[in-house]
Amino acid sequence: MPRIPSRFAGAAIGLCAAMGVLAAYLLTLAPGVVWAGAGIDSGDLAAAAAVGGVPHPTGYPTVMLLGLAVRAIPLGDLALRLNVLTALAAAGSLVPLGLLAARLRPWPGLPMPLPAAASAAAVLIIYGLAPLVWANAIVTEVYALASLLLWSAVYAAARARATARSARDTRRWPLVSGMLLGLGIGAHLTVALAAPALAAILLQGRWRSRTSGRRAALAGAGLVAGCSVFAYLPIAASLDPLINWGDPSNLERFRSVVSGEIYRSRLGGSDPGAIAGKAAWLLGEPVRQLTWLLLPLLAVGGASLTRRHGRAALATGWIAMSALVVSTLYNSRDDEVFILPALAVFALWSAVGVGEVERWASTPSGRARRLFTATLPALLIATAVIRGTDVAPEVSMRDATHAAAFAFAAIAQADPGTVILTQDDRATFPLWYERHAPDGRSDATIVDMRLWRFAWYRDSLGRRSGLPTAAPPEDLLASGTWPSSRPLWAVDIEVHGDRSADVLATVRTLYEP
Amino acid sequence: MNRWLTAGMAASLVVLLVAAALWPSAPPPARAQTAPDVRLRETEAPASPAPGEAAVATRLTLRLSSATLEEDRRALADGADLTLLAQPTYVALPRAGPNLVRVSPAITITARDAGGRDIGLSPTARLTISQPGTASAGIYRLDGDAWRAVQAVALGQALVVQPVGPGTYALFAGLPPDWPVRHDVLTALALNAARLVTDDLLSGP
Repeated sequence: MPRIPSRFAGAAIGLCAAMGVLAAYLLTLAPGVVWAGAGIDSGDLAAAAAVGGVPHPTGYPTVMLLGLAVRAIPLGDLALRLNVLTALAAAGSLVPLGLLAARLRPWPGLPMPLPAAASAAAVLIIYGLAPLVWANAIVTEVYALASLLLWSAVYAAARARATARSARDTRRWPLVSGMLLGLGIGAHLTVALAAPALAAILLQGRWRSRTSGRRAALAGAGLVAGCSVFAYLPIAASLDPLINWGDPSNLERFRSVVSGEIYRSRLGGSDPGAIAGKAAWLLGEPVRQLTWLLLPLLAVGGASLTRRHGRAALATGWIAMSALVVSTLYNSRDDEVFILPALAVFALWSAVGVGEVERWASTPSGRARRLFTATLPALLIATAVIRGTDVAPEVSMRDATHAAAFAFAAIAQADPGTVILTQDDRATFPLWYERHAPDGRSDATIVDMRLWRFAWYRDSLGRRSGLPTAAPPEDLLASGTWPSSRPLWAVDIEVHGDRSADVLATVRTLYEP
Repeated sequence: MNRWLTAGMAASLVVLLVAAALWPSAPPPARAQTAPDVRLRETEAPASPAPGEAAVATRLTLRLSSATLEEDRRALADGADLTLLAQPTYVALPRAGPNLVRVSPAITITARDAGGRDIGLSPTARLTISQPGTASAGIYRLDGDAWRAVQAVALGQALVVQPVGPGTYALFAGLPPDWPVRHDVLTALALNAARLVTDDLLSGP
């Protein structure tokens, strides 16, 4: 039976899985900013990247810095480039998962049989093609990058624990782990929840020993270095960009943006019954997302990890549990996306389970087991293919041109100086992108009335567009003090269906000079 | 750790996950948006046009209430609703050629009574879409997932479909030569002041 040398097994699993899902992601990639499900924020993120600004809290500095790099590539529409970046990050996140799966299997030092590697890769592909993972991989969002950085940090921590060949190795991996965690926090704040998990891995064994202490100090230094990306926020804000949520140019506003203060009311809830119902639903999501087939592998992998790598089981279990708790307690349009780390953990455990099954099959008396392991790769690969073809029409954003078309047409119709009032992300974000993208219509002004109550927003509007900000535009219009030369439009959004992207956008004229 | 203990824990985890997956709970509602959900005021609903007023300039949504139609001496059950929407949802034409506009507002025509039943349209029902500056425009009707051209008569700058049945119609037009092409995947035709004219849409007196 062909075998893969142990040092390449993880990379082979991760890269095969990444290539497989990347093809699916690119075939279903959104062409620009979208209205659909996971991608509503894409317009905000793309517009902020276009102007070097600050997107909605918590500012996502790591994403913005990468966005600035992508902006410098003179190839195609910026929103499309950012979508490709997201797809690459999502596919790339399978590489550290593959490396971890190979490292945590029962006999990590032995060459890995090809069927076992193929099975583990298929497990990761099933994870990559889960509707929630897929939907967040094909349009600009922060979660794919956060996942890549989180699992890279966990892998680096595992390497730090295991590698001590040289003094350089001893220093490098804890530092890299901490830095990746810091960058991950810059991609999404919830990555910080993995810090105790990393600590558990890094401080494994005699945690009061000098080695453990040094490892912790290096990881801490790396964390501080990684978190330095947050300096982007005050620096960008001080340049007065066109998208500047919260204007984090001073310490108070910086704290408000980074802590997501304006969303704090969404945390928790007063109805225990609703919370319990949501928790039950979210707990069932891994099975619905990753298929029933992975359940036995998950159980085997979980048991194997618990016995052989107790700290790794504890650490990954913590990551999964904290993700489920956050997703349960937070209430937003996309709150279920917070369970993504839990799905990754379940996939990782299942991939480890493959290794355990392979170990059983290698016992001399296990003929039936041998047959089982021979069919396992075929079964998993078939499941991945069927799953992919099944989910693709559901998540595909290939034809999601509606939001961009709406924004393009609305702004193209606008006379010079037109002010467009919005009350919905689906109107605001595509219009922002259309307005602020390279070659955008700089004379049109988009005013989101939900942000009007914030002084930083009114100040910015007054400064950048010359609008009177003493009262909301419609009040000025009613009192006859609206600037007579500026057309005033309003966009109404109707959404049909619970989570549907079936959007009716209506442009109304409130005032024409 | 004891082998039986870990096996028991794994089995418990599986049972828990299976129970949760099978639990008859619906997806949670929620759905707060990224920007804080603070509406300073509700926007006013678009006013209904006066009876006989055919054109609604610059307003892309036209909703005719039953009250309006009663005044127009057309029989309509109480609570019935006739809706005409020129909606900028921008339906994409998947296989549109390079000279065709791929994206266009669609007009949905529905007529239902208070019980939600469809109301038949008059055999002489007529839909007119007036769109200045779109010389090569054509009206298409959504048939399943395909758009099919419907016979339309050009009257000046207006295109008239007669008779017209309930459904979704869209105006697609050739690209004006000086129109800026910004997106490689779509070529949107911005519609200025869409004008809709409907006559005799409802059957009976």
